Amino acid sequence: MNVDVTELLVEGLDRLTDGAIVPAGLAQQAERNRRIRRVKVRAMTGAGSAMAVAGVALGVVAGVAGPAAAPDSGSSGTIGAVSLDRAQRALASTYDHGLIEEIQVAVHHVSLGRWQSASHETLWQYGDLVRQQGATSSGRLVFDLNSVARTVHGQALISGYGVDYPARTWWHTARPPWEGETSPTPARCPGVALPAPTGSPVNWPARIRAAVSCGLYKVSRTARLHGVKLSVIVPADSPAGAAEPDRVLWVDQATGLPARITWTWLGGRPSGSVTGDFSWLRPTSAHLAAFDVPIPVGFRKVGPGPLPQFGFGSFANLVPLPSPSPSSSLVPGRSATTTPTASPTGSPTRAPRPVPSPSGSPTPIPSSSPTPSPSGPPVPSPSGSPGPAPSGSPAPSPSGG
Amino acid sequence: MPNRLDVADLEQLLAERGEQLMRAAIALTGSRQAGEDLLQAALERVLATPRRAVADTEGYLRRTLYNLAADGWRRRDRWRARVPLLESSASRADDDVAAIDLRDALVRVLIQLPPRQRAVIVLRYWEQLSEAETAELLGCSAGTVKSNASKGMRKLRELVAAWNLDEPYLAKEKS
Repeated sequence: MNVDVTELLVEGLDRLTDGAIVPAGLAQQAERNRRIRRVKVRAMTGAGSAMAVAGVALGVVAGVAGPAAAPDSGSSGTIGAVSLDRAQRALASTYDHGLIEEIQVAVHHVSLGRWQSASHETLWQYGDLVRQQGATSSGRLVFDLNSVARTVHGQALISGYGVDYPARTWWHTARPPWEGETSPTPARCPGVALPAPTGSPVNWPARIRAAVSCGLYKVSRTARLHGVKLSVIVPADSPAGAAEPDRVLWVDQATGLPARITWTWLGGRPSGSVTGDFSWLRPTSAHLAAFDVPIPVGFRKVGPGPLPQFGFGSFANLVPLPSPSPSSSLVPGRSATTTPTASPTGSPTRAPRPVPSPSGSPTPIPSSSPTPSPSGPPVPSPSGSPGPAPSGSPAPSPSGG
Repeated sequence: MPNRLDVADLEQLLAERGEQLMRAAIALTGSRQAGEDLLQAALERVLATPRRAVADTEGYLRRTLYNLAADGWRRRDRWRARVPLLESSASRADDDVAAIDLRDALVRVLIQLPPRQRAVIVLRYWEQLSEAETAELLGCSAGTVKSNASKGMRKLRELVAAWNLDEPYLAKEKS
């Protein structure tokens, strides 16, 4: 019986497999599947590391705000929705430990281009996905913008929505991507502008390393704040003129992520300055959904308008005021830690949260108060120190509309 | 020279030797559709392998194919899910055995064996490899091959016995 069973089994298998042919394109399909799987693995790896990084911090820190909370349907008639596609999300998850960048920007005698009444802005970025809000010193919203990169019929486009609160208008814009780097890039460091234009995915740690290694920036000293070691990064060359700001970047040594960035125009009186405090958020679905811009009921649709461009991603668009200005529209900037800004839903934007640290300890954002440093002089207060009068040479403002 | 095998290399191989590989994949899975999936999964693995690690592309693909099958490839519980169906069929002892194609029944039983036993039996009895050759291809010892073959064949015999088949019928089928 043994022999019979095996022979019958072989006959059965011969019958089963008789006439087998390999479908056309099987190897090509296998190659496509392999590529898709690689992207998925990368995405999972990125998300995993992001969760590991953020999870440690969030285990200690209660409450994560993210971009302004989901719009209140009662107060908004339309949602300016933008989102990342699968490939963009996979790419975004590989940058900056897979975290959403949040920058609270306070300006001091510097115009935010088109919206001069805005003294404070908040910018969130995750890969190509950007949302930017501007508010007055009293917390009243001035503008709300978002954008994402898209490819339509083979053409790359940046599309998004904008709301101008004082004008009670809103728009949808789709335009080719902004090609140029906004920050000066010496020939010895092509493409290493620091920071990079808003809206282009930037791997901050790699970007900072590149800028330092090619000599564009240098580490001037280290500082310690709330127990966290920071490297203070400054341009290797002094500002070329009064129109050039003095730039300082504070970088968390553990994560390589920026904690604060300041630009100060020392040539004027009083000096103009911009200070950005960074927070890093988990890319939860709620946070990603909050990149949508709510369009309030009754606002009028107008033709294409500006999309997120300025802020710390493109300082060339920030305009130092030409003369000492008592203008009520521009009040001395205050640190985001003390100036709540209304979100579109009316709730105040929360104060910056500690920077997640992969080492396990939360890394708080530096405060604006001077802090003694064991390795050097106290960390200066970038946004609050008075200085000479502004130079008076306004920079071009391509986004200013 | 690219670091990995490219698609054109594999398309050429499939054009020349694809039928045999496809037959093996079907024998291991029990259906053409599943066989295509298995062969495609093996191709993916080979495409992801550095070229320098693949001296003999066909041999490597063949080895990958069998090892994927032996390792369960998809869900390990897939074969288990089919056992109740088989048992309910086997319990119909009073069925007219003449109406049943025994060869097909044996193939169905084979597909319900654990993946490694199935792979060993296909290699040993259908591909007619020796125990040593089978062990080398699957990356296990000859003793493991012997053990798996023995267990697999015992189950096949048990299940065949459950159909109340007798020697004369088998002899008749053979003739």
